[in-house]
Amino acid sequence: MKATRILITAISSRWAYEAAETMTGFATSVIGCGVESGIERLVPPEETPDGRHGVAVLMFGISGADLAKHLERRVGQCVLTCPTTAVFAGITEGEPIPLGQNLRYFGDGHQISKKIGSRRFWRIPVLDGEFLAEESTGRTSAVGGGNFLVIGSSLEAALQACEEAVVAMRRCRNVIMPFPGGIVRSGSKVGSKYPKLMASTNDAYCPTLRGTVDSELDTGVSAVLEIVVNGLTSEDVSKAMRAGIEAACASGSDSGILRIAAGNYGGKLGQFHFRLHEVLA
Amino acid sequence: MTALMLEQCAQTTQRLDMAHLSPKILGQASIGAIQRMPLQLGREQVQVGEIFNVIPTKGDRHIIRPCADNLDRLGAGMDAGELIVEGNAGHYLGAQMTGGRLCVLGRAGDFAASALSEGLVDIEGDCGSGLGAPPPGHMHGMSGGFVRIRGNCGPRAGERQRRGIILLEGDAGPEAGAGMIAGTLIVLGSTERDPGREMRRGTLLFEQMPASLPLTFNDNGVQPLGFLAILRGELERLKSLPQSWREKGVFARRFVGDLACAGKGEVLVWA
Repeated sequence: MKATRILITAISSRWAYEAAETMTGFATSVIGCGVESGIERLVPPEETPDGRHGVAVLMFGISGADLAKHLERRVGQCVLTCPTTAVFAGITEGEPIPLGQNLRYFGDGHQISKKIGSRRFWRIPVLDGEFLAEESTGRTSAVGGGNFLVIGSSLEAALQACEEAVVAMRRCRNVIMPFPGGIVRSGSKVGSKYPKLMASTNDAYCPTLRGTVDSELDTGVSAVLEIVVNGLTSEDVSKAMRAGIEAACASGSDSGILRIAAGNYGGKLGQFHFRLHEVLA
Repeated sequence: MTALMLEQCAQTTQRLDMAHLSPKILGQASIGAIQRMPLQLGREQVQVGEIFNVIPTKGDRHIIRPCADNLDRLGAGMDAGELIVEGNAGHYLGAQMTGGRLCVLGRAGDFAASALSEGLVDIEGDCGSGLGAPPPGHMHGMSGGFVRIRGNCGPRAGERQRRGIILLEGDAGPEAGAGMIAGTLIVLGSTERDPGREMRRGTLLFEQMPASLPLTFNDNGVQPLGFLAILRGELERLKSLPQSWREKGVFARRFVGDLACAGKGEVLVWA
């Protein structure tokens, strides 16, 4: 996968977050959404280029071209439109992909380029003043689809453990959990009986299919939830998975967590494999 | 690394062209070779050893100690290293520099940092006219880098500047930023008449309203300009952030012009 990071700033953390949340909406899976994206962290004013509250967003795509196309669309429709925002590169190394470079044309000829140091910015006139956008951001190779399954004796127990896992994982840098609240209830396997479908329900882990298919679940299992994590490096993904699994298991077996597993998809999905015994070693 | 100090031991009435003595040459050649190097003195050539004592010093900063202000083209064309001028410099100081750091502890003559494209020039005192301006026969003035003048500056500072930042801590003479193509010129002191005349793009940023603006500038009102925060960060990185800027926001009164040209330039006065 290819990934980039952008930094959105605004007059307050609320407006920076609004922009980030809007641009990362409908970005859970490259299969259906084109890209996977999420909020990495809130960035304090002392760490942002313009001294305002910021939000770091990570975006992952199958190819560099896909990533560039979706980044431009999403920043154009969700950040440019949001009051008081500005957008900056979050990665300075690697192949540059356009950020303000194409959005500048919205200025209809009134846009102004400003090169400060080695960085070029575009000042695009908008109704609340100027939208400031850095010319480009960096693109890097990245890792998507790190995952683990939380297997519980009840849905409540599995959900509670996953919520705690996501809180712990969000403290890690360079990773996002792109699904709603960081948690997936529709874990999938590669392929389907329907030839056109690339992915379908992970039947081996569906409690309602126990007894119908070759199930991985014992009789005491009521619910399985999955956490999917994307990161800039395999180390970042491993670190976040470890933090998540430890948090999910922190309350012990009495909390209703029976097992932690992971989808290995027969080794067919991607070049990176995160074996849980290695992640936790 | 051993650096060199060139101490002027012979006064000259003619102007001396110092462009040959870049930090790169001073760092590579032997003392004997440097002493034998030719220098242009008016219409004649002299050897470095006839004018300067060449003394090895500790550290990696080369030092030139002039005893008059007729040493022209000090640091001209230098591309790396550090050169300190412990005294006054003549004309074309750091002209067409492409890198490195050049510091003058005194004042500088006309056309300092002329067509500078990269690197840093820091002048403790005043400088003459045409700071960063194009040398004769060139289309563009300064096209990158950073220039800091702690004193005042003569007419037409930043003329036809294309990129880079000039920070003028004292007063600016008339027609600062004349014909500016892009880039940023900051004046912390007062500014004489007609800054930005015929500027096409670029930013002139003033602490005080200039004595007068060309009639072809329009008042754009007080605006929040986010890039001022970026500029402040860049000056902080360059260890040159004016103390008075620490408390400033991003609001500036903006005049757009020169409408006689492309009209995409701006004169900003901190609100």
